[in-house]
Amino acid sequence: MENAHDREPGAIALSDLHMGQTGIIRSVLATGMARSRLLDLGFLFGTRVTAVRRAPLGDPTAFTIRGAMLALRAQDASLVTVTPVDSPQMNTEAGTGAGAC
Amino acid sequence: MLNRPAGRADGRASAHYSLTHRCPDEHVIALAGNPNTGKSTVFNALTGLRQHTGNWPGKTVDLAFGRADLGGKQAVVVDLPGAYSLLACSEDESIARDFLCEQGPDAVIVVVEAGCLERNLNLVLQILELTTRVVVCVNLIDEANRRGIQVDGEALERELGVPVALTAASTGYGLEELRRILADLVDGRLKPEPSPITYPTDIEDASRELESRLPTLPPAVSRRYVALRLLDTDPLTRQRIVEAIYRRAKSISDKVVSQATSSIQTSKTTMKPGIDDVLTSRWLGLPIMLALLGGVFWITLVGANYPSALLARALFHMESWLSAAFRAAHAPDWLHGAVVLGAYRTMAWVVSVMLPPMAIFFPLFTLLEDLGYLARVSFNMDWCFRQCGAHGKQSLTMAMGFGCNAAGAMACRIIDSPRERLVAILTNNFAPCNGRFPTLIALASLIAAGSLPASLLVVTMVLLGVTATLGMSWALSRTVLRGVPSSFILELPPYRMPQVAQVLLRSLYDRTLLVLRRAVIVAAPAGVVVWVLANMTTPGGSNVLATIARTLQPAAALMGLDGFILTAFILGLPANEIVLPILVMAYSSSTALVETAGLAVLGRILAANGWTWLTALNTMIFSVLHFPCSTTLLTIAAETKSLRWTALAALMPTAVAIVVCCATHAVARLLGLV
Repeated sequence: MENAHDREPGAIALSDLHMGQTGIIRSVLATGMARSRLLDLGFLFGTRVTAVRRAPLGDPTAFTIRGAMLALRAQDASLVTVTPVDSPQMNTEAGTGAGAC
Repeated sequence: MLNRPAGRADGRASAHYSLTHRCPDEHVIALAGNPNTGKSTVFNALTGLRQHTGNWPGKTVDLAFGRADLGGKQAVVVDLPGAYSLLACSEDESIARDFLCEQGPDAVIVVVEAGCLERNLNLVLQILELTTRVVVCVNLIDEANRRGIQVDGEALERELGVPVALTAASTGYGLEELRRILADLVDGRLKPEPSPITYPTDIEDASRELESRLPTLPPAVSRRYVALRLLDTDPLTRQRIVEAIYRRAKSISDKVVSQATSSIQTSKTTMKPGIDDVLTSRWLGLPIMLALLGGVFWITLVGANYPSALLARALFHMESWLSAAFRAAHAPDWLHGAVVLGAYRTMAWVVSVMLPPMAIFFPLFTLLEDLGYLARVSFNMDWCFRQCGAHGKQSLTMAMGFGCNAAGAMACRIIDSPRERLVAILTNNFAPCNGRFPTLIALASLIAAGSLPASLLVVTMVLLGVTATLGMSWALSRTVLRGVPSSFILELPPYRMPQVAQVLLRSLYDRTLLVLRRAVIVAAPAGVVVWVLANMTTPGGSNVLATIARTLQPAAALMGLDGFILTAFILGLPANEIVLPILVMAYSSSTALVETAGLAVLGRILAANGWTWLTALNTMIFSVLHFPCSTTLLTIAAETKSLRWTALAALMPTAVAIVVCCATHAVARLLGLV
């Protein structure tokens, strides 16, 4: 898997967002069917996406994007790169979320 | 495609009809939309009870047809499967797209969720490239308003160039307007002229070039649409096309949606944060899930008791009248036996013992689903499915299987990847369906004293089914269906107050009709066959049924069952709900038992035939794990288009059932428990 940091300075994988943290999508590295599906659901350059919560067993994670809440497995979320945005909501759940994966 | 024989689940295949059967002057209206937009509610509101399918209450997996009254004019409304996009990915989305392309409906209703307009407009804009006779139904407007979101319908109409109706289908708000627009659309009084999306110049040029070179197309198909689809086979072009559509969606949504500033903060990151903090939390998520499941069974057990006894008394009272009538008419014994003791008695069993639990269980389950909880179950359970190499949506199709395995197998169309779809189809049978729950519930209440322990026992059986699902998914993913899990995205819709009264009425009505119909179509003929087998003597002097049972006895004994039980499961292939009635009849024939009545007598009959708690437990286990019913097998054959996969779908669960029953029996004997 390609490491996001190598290509885009400042970008991290969507799966690395803390709970409550928002990111702006830089690129979708997934291919084939997974890529089509992500595009169809609006995972496009410049879109805001916020990590909301993790499932009880640590995976998948729910994100809000374009008004909808969508759950992605870490394996798929790692193929989307985002630039984190500092936002006041950032720390609401960060403590519990960070340890979960 | 529309004529797909689709063993609609619950034996409703006959209710299917193709669009060619409609009156020639009848208009066809297609209903499209993203999943979770309340599309089914709009469909129900438009067509009332005049629908020709409805797999188990509420959800649309296959195509459902209904008749709507548009101010004196009749129209057929076709409920298309939920789709996020027409750039097809899943089988469901292909079905929706193919219908729109090939059938050329007179009008298309696109249902969109008011609270999630931007994402939903993606589909609207795609459909507008296919046809212009579109009305956009902005549904759940009440829910959006409560969240401080306002949608300007007139502005949306101007932006899109097609009529818009703001609705809250559950309360009926805006439906008159929708009907009026539909009537104008199908009549041609209203001819929308949506402005096309402009793509980057090179794509536009290429598209025009391609359009001019395309051969003649059917009139319903837009040339521009076909040209663009040919172009988007290139991944980069595809991305730029999707980006252009979303850019337009965002610009429209920015113009027509306004949000009260006070609510931006809360609605942006979460929907009802309080509830999900508990229901999907790390420590409470899974325990609550089990407790809810247990609660549903407890209510079913307690609630079914009384109506079951009442029905049994009434129906068996009627049996004695029938017998008296046959005697009075000097009817021959064999006729009385086949009709009353065979057909009628089996039917009476199905109705009295099977109907009440079904009529209670289903509404409860549907309520949880409509509330949005099943998506959370899927969210909570996904980790387990991933470990087994299965798709996250398999927990949804498994849940559907609790209703009906045929419906569950068909629901697997929501899974994009063929490998994981097959895994889901082949293991769906481990979710005990509504034909088996009453058997489980009846036997559980015989073993466990009190409704609480009995519910726990049923929950244990469900967990056994889930474990088998996961275990066999794991095994399949490592053997015949080797591969890694593909991508998985699950939408978690906002929690919504279900329409309790409508769900209760609808599923009571649907369930009752369904069970009654199956009682007549399946149970009654099976009753006759079993009676004949039980009363036809072989040269050896005993009846055929007992002979079959004796042959199966050695194998059955190893599994802690007896020959009659296995015979009943085999004869019960057409429908799981007749297994117990067949068994009772088989026992009655050999023990010359005269009296029969509902659940109360069941225990005595079984005990008289040497049942222990272990026999009952093994019967429950066998019921959960054994081969699917014939309707499900036919559906699997239709879905997989392969005899080999169908055979595997029958043999694999049976093998698992045999192994688990033998193991349980052996362990219990070793420990000296029996």
